[in-house]
Amino acid sequence: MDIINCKNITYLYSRYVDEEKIHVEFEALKNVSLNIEKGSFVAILGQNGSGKSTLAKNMNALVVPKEGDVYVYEYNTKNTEFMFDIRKRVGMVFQNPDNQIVAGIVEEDIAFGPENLGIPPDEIRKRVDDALKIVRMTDYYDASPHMLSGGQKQRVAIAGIIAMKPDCIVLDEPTAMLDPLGRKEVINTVKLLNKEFGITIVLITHFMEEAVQADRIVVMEDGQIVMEGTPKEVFSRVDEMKNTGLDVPQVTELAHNLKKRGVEGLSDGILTIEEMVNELLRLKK
Amino acid sequence: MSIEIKNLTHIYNPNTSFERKAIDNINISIPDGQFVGLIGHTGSGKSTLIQHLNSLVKPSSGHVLIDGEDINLDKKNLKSVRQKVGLVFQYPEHQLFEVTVLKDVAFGPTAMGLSEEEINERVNEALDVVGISPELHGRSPFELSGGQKRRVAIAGVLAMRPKILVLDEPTAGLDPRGREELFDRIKKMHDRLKITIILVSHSMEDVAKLVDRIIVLENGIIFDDGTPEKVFKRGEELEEIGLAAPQISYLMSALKAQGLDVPDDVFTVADAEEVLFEVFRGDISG
Ligand SMILES: Nc1ncnc2c1ncn2[C@@H]1O[C@H](COP(=O)(O)OP(=O)(O)OP(=O)(O)O)[C@@H](O)[C@H]1O
Ligand SMILES: Nc1ncnc2c1ncn2[C@@H]1O[C@H](COP(=O)(O)OP(=O)(O)OP(=O)(O)O)[C@@H](O)[C@H]1O
Ligand SMILES: [Mg+2]
Ligand SMILES: [Mg+2]
Repeated sequence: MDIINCKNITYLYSRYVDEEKIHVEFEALKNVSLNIEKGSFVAILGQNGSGKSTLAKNMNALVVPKEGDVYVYEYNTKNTEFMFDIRKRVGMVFQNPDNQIVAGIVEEDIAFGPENLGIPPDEIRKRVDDALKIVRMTDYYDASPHMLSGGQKQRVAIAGIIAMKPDCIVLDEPTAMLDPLGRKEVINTVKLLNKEFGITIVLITHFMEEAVQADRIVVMEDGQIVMEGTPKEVFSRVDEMKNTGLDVPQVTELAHNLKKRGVEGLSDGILTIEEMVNELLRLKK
Repeated sequence: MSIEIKNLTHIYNPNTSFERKAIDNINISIPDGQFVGLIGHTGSGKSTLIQHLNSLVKPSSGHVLIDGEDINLDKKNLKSVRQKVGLVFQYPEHQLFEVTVLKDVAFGPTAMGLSEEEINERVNEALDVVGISPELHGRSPFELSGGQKRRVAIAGVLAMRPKILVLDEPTAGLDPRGREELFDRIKKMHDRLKITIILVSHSMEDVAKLVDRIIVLENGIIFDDGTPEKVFKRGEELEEIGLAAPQISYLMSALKAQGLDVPDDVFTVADAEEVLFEVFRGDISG
């Protein structure tokens, strides 16, 4: 079953220039169709300006398409009556951890979303506790967010979304500002939400190593989807990925280069250090 | 231009319950023309430290000398210090403010009192270096994607042609090609103009590829200072302080642990390719 279905959507940014005399439009999405299956983990890759964030904003009715339709379950995002239902089901996490935290204490911050949904206090208490546990931040329930590391702040932001019990979370470059440990913490949390709690994940990232974790990768270029497949399928196309201005994980590139230089027997689309070690040891035998 | 940091301490909100010592009695000496990487986990003090270099943040105690001169002695020097030391902020949206991309990038050179011709030349060159195409020049910086905004913020500083370039997470949010091209050009600029560069980054892979020297900050003090070879050898200790070595280092250690005869101070794809090619080429000929 699909949780999100984008059907031939086109999105225009419009603006006025020259003292409001000229109206200019920019087509950021061009007839894009994409379905997100319930329970899946989809990564979206693409160059700067290719339309990833615009697509993400279309997925929970932050904006609506000019042409075509986006459905979250059966709700058309163009119908403002459904806005509440849609936002409850599809939550968003953004890049800058500091811009997402609203309250002065961690647990109040997490309670903010459910409070707005009109959830009764007892239930809120339970949701906040559960959310803290899932992101492994229970010890920090009464901390001031300013005292937390970037990775911890992002996990609090994720907990705030979890407390609204969404079916799907769209994360727009959640790790761009984090150190390696923070990045690992956030990606592990995302994987846990997907595998243990069945939450559908849409992850936008410029880190190829993170995209390896997804079930499916979608590559955007110039407002369109240009490639799609499993990480193995997509990252096997090393030259194509590089031509699109993207990259492949370092070990994938290393294996690809060695093959090009005549080291035989390495498979295509090696994605992790572990796979690479196993392949090389096999060759050595 | 050289940088001399002497017994520098910075305390935020002193004498309040929010007091926080972000930099704790640090000494660093950076000779003219060095390319330095500054790494450390979030909150370790990197941004605080580098904002001292053009006096955006003032020492609680200690001194910052640029080209031998204490920059905090005379307020009148501030303008000239800011022209010598170009700082790209971590959050570029804080740096953008003009009505168009062109005007935004021209702001610095205009304030320097350059001729219109010179300004235009510099602005176009800087926008080209960061990969912002002419269609975007007339747009408002606020109508750009995240990565495009960052590129424009970087161009604004490059256009001033500073002698010391300080980049705080310049590639966060940039796509892989953007990252590679930008670094390629910055490296060339460094080699050609012999400017001093400080790169703050959470990407160990980028740092590994570029710098001569790495300084590791941990809770406001210097945890390590040395060549990339030396610093990345301490992979496990780096992990304990929230960092990591580049992915390739882990691959090489794993291969070594499995009995393969490979060095453990290799951390770029290019170097690993050479090493592994040597190890496995025998299998090709024979
Ligand atoms: N407010 C706006 N007005 C006009 N054009 C815009 C606006 N916001 C974005 N755009 C343009 O729409 C296109 C898509 O932008 P979007 O933010 O979706 O890109 P992205 O893929 O998320 O890029 P990044 O990797 O840099 O975050 C870009 O070319 C951008 O310049
Ligand atoms: N304006 C401020 N007021 C109070 N404390 C601050 C302020 N700015 C930073 N701090 C604190 O000082 C310490 C160092 O922060 P700084 O921003 O220098 O770290 P950083 O190494 O740049 O982190 P990141 O990798 O997340 O950018 C942190 O504990 C931070 O919370
Ligand atoms: Mg974006
Ligand atoms: Mg910082």
